[in-house]
Amino acid sequence: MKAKSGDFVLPGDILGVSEQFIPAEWTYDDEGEIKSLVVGVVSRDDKNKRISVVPQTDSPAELKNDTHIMGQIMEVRGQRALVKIDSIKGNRRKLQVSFVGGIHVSQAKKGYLSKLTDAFHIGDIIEAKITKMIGLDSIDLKTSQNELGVIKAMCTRCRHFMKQTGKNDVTCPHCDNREKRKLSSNYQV
Amino acid sequence: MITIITLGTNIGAKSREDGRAFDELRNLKIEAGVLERADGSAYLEFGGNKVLVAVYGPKESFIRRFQRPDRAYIRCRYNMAPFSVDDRKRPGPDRRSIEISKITAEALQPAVILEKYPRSVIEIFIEVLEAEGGTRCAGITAASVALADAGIPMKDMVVACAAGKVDGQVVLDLSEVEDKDGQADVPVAILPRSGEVTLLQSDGNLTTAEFEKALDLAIKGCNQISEVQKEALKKRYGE
Repeated sequence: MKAKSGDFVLPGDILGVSEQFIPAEWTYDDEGEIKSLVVGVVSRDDKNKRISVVPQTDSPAELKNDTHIMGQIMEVRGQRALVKIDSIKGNRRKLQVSFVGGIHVSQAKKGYLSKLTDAFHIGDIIEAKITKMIGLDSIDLKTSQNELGVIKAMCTRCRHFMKQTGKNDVTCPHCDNREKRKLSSNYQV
Repeated sequence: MITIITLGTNIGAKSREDGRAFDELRNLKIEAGVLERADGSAYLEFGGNKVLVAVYGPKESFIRRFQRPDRAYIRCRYNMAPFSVDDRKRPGPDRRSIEISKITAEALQPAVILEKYPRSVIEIFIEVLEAEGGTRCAGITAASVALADAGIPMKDMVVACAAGKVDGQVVLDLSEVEDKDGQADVPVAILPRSGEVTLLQSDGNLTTAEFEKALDLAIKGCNQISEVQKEALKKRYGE
């Protein structure tokens, strides 16, 4: 049996044999037979001899390069800010485990940034993009695009969420503390 | 390997209390994706059984002892509603439901690609709203559909069905009365494509030949139920 692109398949359905294709996303090789792992439709790449399944169900949240994530700043070191990744933007499914990513000072904003504390502080909620993943423990993030950066800034003095007062300035409505951040164009007051 | 042994010629004859043939299943209806807030769900009606299943995950396990460094952990809770039986059932887990929770998780494990989600947990909640014999099989069958609905990668869909012995005859899919009055009950769960058995229990007295016949009958029932499972997912996600 050789499945065609667009065929509806269920878990365990045979898509082809390993002499014909390389099993790609949401498929597996079962002793020479390529089978579907999920409910979905077949996508066949005859040029590269790859066969995959496009899930029709909601898939469990999975981190990949270029994925936009939401997270919270855990720690700001000299060259690197550590982010606890909470969720994938636009995906209501929870992540399988909590991941920690890092933003290098060169990836925080466009242009030169002298110190990382001018972009982030502990507790800030940010939106970032994954640039590189090595395994599950080394995730590099960047916030240099306009829509990326701090979504909600937290006052370092009183821990209240801060109001945007300039392009990259925030003020605490509780204690009038003024601080700098790399703000996202989607900053929420 | 399963040996097919035919005992007598009772197959196809209509002489059971509810008018079914010895190899006939009760009416079966499965619906996938019935709950909005769960990651995956399914509703199943099997004769007088009504079972609702919700699946959450894979997600972070906050209970450390459930975390596995190389794979996910399936955590299952089988629960009978207080109004599911004639006499009110005392709410909460009891010996029976703890056992069924365990064997359900173990029956589903061989089908799920657990290695894809290390350190996480997949939670399955089986709620029996009405019980009429064979709820553990109904729960496994519905849980498998709910797992597929949650997009969890699986090698195959697990399907379960029971056979047993009533009035000296080996019969398929025991009802509550047959379960209580019968001489034996053999619940079986399989992966229908490979024929791998993931659950096999036997309660009561059966000869070797009767046991083998019951097993064959249960596998035949599983294959019929498997088609309804597939239809439920096709109906939900379109062909």
